[in-house]
Amino acid sequence: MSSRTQSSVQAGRPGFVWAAPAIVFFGVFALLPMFVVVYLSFTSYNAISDPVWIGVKNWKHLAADPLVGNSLRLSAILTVLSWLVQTAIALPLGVYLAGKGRTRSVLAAALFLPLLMSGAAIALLWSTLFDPNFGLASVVGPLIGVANGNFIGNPSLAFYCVLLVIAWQFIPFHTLLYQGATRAIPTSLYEAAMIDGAERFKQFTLITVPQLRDTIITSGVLMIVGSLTYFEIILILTGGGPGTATRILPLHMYITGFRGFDMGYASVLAVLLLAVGTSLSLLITKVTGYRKMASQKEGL
Amino acid sequence: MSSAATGTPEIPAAGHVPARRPADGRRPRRGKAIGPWWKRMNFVGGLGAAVWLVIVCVPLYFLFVPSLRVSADYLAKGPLSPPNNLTVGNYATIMRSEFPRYFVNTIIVTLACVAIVLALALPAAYAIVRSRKKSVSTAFSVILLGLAVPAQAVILPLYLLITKAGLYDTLLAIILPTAALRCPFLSSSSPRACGTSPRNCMRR
Amino acid sequence: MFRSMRAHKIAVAGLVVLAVTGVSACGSSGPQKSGGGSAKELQLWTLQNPGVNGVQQKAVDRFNKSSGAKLKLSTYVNDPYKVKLQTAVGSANAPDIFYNWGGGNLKGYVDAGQVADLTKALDAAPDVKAKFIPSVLDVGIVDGKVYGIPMQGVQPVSFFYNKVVFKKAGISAFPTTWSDFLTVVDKLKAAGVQPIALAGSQGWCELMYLEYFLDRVGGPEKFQAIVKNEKGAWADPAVVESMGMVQDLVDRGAFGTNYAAVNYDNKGSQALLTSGKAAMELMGSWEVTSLNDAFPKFLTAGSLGWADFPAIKGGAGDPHDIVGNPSNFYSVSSRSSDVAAATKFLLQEMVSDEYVAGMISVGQVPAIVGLEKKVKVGAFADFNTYVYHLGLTAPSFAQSWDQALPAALSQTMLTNIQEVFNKQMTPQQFADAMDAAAAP
Repeated sequence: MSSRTQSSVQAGRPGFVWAAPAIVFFGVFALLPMFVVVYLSFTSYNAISDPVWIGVKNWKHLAADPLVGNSLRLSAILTVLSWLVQTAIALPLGVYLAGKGRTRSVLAAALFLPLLMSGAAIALLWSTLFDPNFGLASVVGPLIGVANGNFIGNPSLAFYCVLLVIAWQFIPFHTLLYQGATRAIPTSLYEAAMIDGAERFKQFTLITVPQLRDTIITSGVLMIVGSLTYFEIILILTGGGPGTATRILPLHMYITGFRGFDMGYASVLAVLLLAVGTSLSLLITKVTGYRKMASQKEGL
Repeated sequence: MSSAATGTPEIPAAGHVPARRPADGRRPRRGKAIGPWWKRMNFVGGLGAAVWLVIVCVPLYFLFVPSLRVSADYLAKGPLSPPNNLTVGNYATIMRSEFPRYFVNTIIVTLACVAIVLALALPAAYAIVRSRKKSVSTAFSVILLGLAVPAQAVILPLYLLITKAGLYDTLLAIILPTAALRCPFLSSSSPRACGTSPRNCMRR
Repeated sequence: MFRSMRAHKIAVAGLVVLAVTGVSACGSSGPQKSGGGSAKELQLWTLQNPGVNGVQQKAVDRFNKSSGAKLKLSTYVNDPYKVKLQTAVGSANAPDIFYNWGGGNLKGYVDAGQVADLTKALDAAPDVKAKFIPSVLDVGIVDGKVYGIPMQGVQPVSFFYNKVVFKKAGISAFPTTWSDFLTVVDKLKAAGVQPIALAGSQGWCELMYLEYFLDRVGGPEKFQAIVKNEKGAWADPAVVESMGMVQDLVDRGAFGTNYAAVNYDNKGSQALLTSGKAAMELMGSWEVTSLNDAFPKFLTAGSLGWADFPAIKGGAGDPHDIVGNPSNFYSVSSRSSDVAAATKFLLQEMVSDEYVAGMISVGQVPAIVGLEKKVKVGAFADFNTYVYHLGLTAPSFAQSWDQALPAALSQTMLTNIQEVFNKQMTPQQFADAMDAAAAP
């Protein structure tokens, strides 16, 4: 680069002021309420009367609540399995759809459709499908060994049903991320590989996947943090049941706060979720060097 | 490269080598594929995509087709029965109800949220990638924090905030918090897109 | 040039943001201010129910016309309504009149001091007071004072059965004792039919069995003790025995095998009943209007039968006791800008002939005395008569437990009930868990 463009690149580096509006806006409507939630975790509050300060009583209850351990375990399993299943499907699919060709574009558009539906709509749809007597479950069940079609009522199977529906909803999104990122990979890399005689699978593992590293991390962070805060589907599909078989932590928080109207304890769970989610995302980005956020391209 | 003018890089299909200018300056035949056709087609990929297509489309069928059936008929015979009593009556019913108003509300909220988030989060994403300042990387950590805020947890404090601001029962009461909770999402996933292309840098 | 282009783009973006948010701010009604204006606008919040809402709107219109008030009806869907009400009551956005379930549900608001005491107003209108069925009005009384006025039909829980299926299995009449009931269950199983349709994915559907068992086995006092949160009320042997009977039904296969996956809201259990795959369902009286909406042919063919919950020999409870929703209630917010007008609306319209006739016409059976002839009209004449008779003559009308108990305890209870039905918890464990949960 010439010295003229180099200095203009230096001078053109954006400062904090570019990020400031977003931070302020987000701070007022998301961070500030979160501070209030921390305060509420030390109170007893049922949303009708004013909060009453009770100190660490709610936090002590956290240690004694048997459901919390169960919820944490379920959330952890859901997070790991979701990440595995969704990445395993979305990544190859995204790479495949990034290719040229009209069929692929049409296919991409069709596969994008679940993203257009709200979580509630998806949950209602699948709720009908899972009906053991009249839904798809009654037909598919006998074919795979569940003779009475009882998927979502079986404590062991309900979890996997929920996993499936969440994957169904979010794989299109992550496919889109991978598709976009794959398209940005410079073809020079593939040309070089072609000359060296690498066939498709080797190209995939040695070029595509490493180039997609940042996207894998972004997508992974979104999936992991999402699993810790998203429960709309589970709420409508199983309500946390049967019993507590699918009551992940954010759902436990919701039921405690908005069905049981125990906002103080629900706030404790919220703070716990925030702490776990933030630690995980910071940990991941730090370990993978993503935090530097420097571009992989030359010259930037 | 041929795609430089359009700015969109393409992945070559397997076995297809982009045309090169041979040494004697003659223009080569474009699009000449190399290798037998069964090596060019991506069977594994195609099969996988087809399977996923079925998984996506079957529920969508059950979304769309029952909406065209008479409700009593559909419930009596079950969702799996062949649809033979089709009607648009269900659509007429919702159009007569409050649905159009809800739809308009949704459009307004969506447009406003998108506008706000783009206007605020994209510059932030750009700054996160390009800036070397520590204040900006701290900003990124704060933004990562925001990803983990469980929306339902902050609803009550937000409700109090919105009421105090006099915005209760308005569309802004939905737009502002929704946009605020979406900012981190965009800011963290778009830096890749923001900072990747060398051409954008060179174009200045 | 680049810099001015960038500035230009930012300016455009900013304008777009302003424009859209401006539109959204315009397309809204401002927040409701209580007080101000000559005829103050009063808010009435109720649940969404197409038939009933029409009748309520007419009552509101009549009242506005006759008294010059500005009462406005707003309807909401069930689950969000509960949350919305909880946060609104006690704030500046509180409605003037609100729908509630009476009993424990109402007590929550009364204890927060947010409900107006209507005792004096009701005593001053003895003819109005005399019109309500006493056992129902009782549910609107908290700590001896009247806080809620019944506004909807009585909704007892009964058994509904498919007459065609019964006939095919050779059963001539619905059993009246529990031992006969078990015989019928076995007969139905032998005929290849699932005896009972149960929406096991929803705890409140399963709750109804426990409500009846405890009442029949231990008498209504057992649940009263639980409501009063007396020590050891949950650990009572009657509770354990009731849950034992539940598991006995499960073991006999009375509910089939996949009941835990069946959902009431998407008509899963009703589809079982109407298609003949199952023979009976224990449900509240709203089942008839619901079946009429979703499966009208089943009703017009006369295939639906209804009957009381069987008597249990040796049990302490009266076989005529019922459980369910005694009614739903309207209460006046103590923060209302015009408590007098709101009270006047309730005392005037809730017993008016037009309102009562309107309710009957949409299939509700109001909690008003003297309606024997009036309810015998319309498509559901026989059923309405049956329900009315039940509501009028039952010695005890226990409120649904998930409305009578505090919200947090209710949630725990529903989860535990589900686990008992799924055989993940024994009856004794249930009693112990509920005892622990109810301890303050």
